Amino acid sequence: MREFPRQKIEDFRLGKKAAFDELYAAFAPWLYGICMRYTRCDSDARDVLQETFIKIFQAKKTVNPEKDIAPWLKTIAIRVALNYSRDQYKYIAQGDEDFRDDLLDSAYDLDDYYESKRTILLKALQQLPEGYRMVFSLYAVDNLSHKEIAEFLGISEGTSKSQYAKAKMKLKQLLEINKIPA
Amino acid sequence: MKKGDKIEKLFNEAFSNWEADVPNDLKSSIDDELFLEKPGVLSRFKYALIGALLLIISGIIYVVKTPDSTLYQPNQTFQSNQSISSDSEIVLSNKKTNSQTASKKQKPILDTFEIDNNQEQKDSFDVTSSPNNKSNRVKNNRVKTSPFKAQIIQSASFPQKSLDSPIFDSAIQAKNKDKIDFEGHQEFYANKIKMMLDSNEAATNQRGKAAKNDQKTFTNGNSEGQVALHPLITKDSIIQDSTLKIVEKSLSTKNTHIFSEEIAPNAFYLGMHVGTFTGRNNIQTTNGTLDEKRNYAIGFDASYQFKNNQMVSTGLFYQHRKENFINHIIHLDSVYSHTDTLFQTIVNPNTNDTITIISGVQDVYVYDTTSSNFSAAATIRIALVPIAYDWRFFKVQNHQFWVQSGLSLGLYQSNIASLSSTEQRTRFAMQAFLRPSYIYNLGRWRAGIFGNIAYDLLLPQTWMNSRQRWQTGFGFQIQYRL
Repeated sequence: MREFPRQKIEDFRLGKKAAFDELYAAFAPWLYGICMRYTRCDSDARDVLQETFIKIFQAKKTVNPEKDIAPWLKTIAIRVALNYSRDQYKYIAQGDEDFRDDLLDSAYDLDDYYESKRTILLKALQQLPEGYRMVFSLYAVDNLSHKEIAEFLGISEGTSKSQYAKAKMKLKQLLEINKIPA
Repeated sequence: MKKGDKIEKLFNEAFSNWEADVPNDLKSSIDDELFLEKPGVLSRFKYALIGALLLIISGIIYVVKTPDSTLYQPNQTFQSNQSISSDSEIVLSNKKTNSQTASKKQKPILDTFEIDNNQEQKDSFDVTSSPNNKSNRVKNNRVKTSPFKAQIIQSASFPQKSLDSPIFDSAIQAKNKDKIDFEGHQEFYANKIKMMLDSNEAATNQRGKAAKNDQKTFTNGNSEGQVALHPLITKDSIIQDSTLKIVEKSLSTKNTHIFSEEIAPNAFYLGMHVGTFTGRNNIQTTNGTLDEKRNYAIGFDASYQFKNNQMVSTGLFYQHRKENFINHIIHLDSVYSHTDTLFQTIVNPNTNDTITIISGVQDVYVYDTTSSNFSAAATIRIALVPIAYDWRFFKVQNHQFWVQSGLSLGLYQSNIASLSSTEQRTRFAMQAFLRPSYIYNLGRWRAGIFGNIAYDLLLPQTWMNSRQRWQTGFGFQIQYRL
């Protein structure tokens, strides 16, 4: 559990830059990892993280100092990532057929093969269609239930389950290519 | 463990607390975005504001500094000729002819008007078609050879706008005509001179002295016109100062019939205005933006002036706002799905949707993976009932500057059923406004321009996030005093 002192949260609420700097130092790497999971590449994740911290600062008054700040930050990061996906990937995401088999062939060269397992998993995740990736990340990594995902994304619970099932099938295919047992 | 569970575990372990290396320059980019001073609204419009202020100040200075031509000039000089000209002075001459002097008989007095006009008035007063026509001057030989040169000259200053004076009305209307009917002016001046002379006679009690044939000569630049007048009464060659007051009064350029009088309290006004306005919104949401277009308004108001410079107003305004709220929520299932109840009214028709029926692990679903964004366009109609207090800052002649401030209670109606998944209903809202206006008075009518600055105290829509809205605009207004 990441913690941030309550006094620092109060200072952050008041807009003090020093508190914001400390918040950034404490949570930026973690949030960057989240952004990586919800975007397709490092460059996009960088943009999302920048936008996330801007939103965090703009919404500083809404943070509750009585509660842990980490979930609040994570929620903003995911929302920003969702918006970014909508803006940047809308011409690529075309449904089930937008699963990019072309990238599947080219994404894993020898260098990638010898990268760490996390990198391969990340690349596999980043190749999923947007809907798959969102639901899978929210469910498998961020531990949201399908009901919560449905509320969060504004979809039905059944749709969330369906997306998740499909995402798992696709990931399995990807990981099998890279010799990672799944 | 199922394969699916293994995948979950795999990813969960890999990413649940993963911290990635953040690019070094990212923080500076964020700081630039957040803390670097950007030009605000005021600075962006500062040149326009400065220009508007200069314009207003110049207008005020012009209005205040313009001399009132109707005021009596204490340093007027008096000679035997009374000189009045339209642009600088008007000269009235009372002269005696040779014959008058020689015979000592009672003769009609010769009254000579020498009017030195500017070019515009030359056209009006030129009694001949040629400006250099000397024929009329010949007719005035008698006047020119008079042994009495001017005895009394009164000079009074008149600005050019004194042409609007009734004494010149007919002359202006006769502009560009070859010959001008001066009858009206003759009668006017003749009457005034008659009054003047009567007064003088009463004072000197020398009636019965030399009388002269009454003539008037209009000297107009290089041309002179002579128009025969009805014979007037006889008079002395000396005009007392007391007569000058009459002349001064009669030559006043104050055009009272178009100037508005100071309105007494208890006056009612009915008015209307049209204008345009736009809003500046600050909405705190991570999933939407608000774009407000330029809007228009029309209103009718009733005002009650209870003091010379204070009024209260109310009325009924109608505004038509166009606000476009872009909702940035990714929509993961099909808009055709019966489970999707959000944004019933407006759906982006340009979104590519692919519906696929698959057999999932648990069930069969109709779904697609299109990331749809929905544009919820909100057109809002507003009926406002404002309660305002009006205060006049200054009034110079017909020019006034008022400031109106107050609250308006509005009934807002949106043309969409829901916005950002929140149902929108017709509801009340409140706005505080400040309305400076420049007004020109013309009799019972007032017309002018106004600016408008307003702040939405109570928003007409239900927002999940906080929203602040400022409104600025301008327009034209007209009022009629009952």
